[in-house]
Amino acid sequence: MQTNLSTNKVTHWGKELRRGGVLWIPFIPLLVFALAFEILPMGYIIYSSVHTSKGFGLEAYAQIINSKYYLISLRNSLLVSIAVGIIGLLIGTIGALALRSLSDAWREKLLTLVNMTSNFSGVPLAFAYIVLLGVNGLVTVLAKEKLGLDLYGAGFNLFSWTGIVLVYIYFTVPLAFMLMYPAVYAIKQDIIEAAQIMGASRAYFWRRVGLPILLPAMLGSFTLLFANALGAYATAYALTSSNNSLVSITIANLVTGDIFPDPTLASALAVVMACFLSLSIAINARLKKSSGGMGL
Amino acid sequence: MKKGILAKVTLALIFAYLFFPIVATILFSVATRWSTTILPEGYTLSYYQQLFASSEFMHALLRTVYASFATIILSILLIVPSLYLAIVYYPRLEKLFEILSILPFAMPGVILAIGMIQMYSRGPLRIANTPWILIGSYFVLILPFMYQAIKNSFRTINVKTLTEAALMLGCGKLETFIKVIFPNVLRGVISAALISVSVLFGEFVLANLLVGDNYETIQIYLYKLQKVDGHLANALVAAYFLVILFMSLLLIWLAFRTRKHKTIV
Repeated sequence: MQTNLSTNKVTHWGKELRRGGVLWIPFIPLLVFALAFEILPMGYIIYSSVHTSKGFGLEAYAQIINSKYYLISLRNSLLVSIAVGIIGLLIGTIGALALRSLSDAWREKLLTLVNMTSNFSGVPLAFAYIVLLGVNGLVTVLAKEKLGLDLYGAGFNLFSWTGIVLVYIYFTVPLAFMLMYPAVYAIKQDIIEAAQIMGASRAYFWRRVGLPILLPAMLGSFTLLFANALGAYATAYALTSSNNSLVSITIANLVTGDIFPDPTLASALAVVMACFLSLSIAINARLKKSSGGMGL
Repeated sequence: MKKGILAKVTLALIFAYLFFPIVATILFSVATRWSTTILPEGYTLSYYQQLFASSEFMHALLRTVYASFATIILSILLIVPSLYLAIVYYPRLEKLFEILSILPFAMPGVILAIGMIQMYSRGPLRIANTPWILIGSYFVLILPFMYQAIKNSFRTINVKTLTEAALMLGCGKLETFIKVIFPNVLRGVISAALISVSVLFGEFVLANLLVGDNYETIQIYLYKLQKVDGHLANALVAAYFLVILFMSLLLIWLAFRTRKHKTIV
């Protein structure tokens, strides 16, 4: 059934191509580039992950499952991405909801500002946070001098998990804001008024009407925020280049590292990571299809 | 009215949170001394002078400009004609673009890079550690943005009807594309290019893993600079953000012009 369907599709494409004459020529360079730099590298990772020095086998995957170190880096990445996704989503949703109280002109201006801050990520963001919250950062020193608050003495450390989560949340919030805004915008004033006329309190409205409307969009946005955080590399690398307990950094170190380069293992880890990413993208696509709501 | 005030306070807090690091970075980049006071003790532009006087900085900037512009021109040449043909003549091939632009979400920079390093370090095409591999990977990186922006501008001009009209009036197929379609989507293409510039100027992962020291881009330079001179690195971060700000304003201006243009027509 499945193959039948796809051959039908292929012959259909073929028909369209024949009908168009030479008009398919511009597709050739596009396909060449897509194959060379997108599809083949992806295939190569899968190939490389099962291609060991002794031939083909799943040794690299077994090594991941049996190694505490790689499992921990995977778990760390997943936990950070989930936490960052949830916190970022909450702040972004609250922000998008609050934006409803403004006039159209202001709303548009503020949205462009939010969109602009979404470009602030990676190495520059990490460095901005180092200037603010590093050991001798502006905020760290000011808090100590003026408020008598010793951040690092109280257990805060920008170059550890608290720091990574803090900075990741920063680049997640603008995205969450932009993703949730259309869904929040769908809750028009007239729905709220209709509910109020029928005797619903504000809390009741949000519990029974508002939240159910928002929930699919929130779940869909979460999958994208999660995927974005899971794939992130530059920010964490710039903050904690030696601390390689996130899976993206572990993968990169396994290929470029001077100590134990192991491309097979790196590829296997990359495949595992790509599976998590594909899963969240697939959930997003499914939600988009069923609700016509937020998606890629 | 209580609700309105609460919402505005919430917004103010979120925007303060988002803009605090940016404002602080920019202030710090023009501060002479700033350690235990709320605002800097004095202002100077010497960090920017030092930065722009550095030939290392200029070279890194130029490398990023070359790689970005080469990639963007290549992407426009590859995507605009084929996407146009897909929309007008082969609607089913649009699926191809959708697949190509969703794949990067499943393989972010790190994954793409380790695939490409292994593929292009040996074999017939040994382009690892050269700018060529960087351009190839950048093409994939900006593909989703390019596709989305160019598709939207084709939609707004109603490209199918426009093509039919041009063909009916006796215009050839190639002539239609060059003289009718392309000038009409030029603005959309420019905004796609601007979005791509902001993405590529901030790109670190691919550059670091694929070319590293062999083709030091602005982000790699920034990463190294931080270890040598934190204040200078901060000035570069501030400059980078000012460039993004400028790009965003340019994009808004373009969108505004398009809207005005449409209402006149």
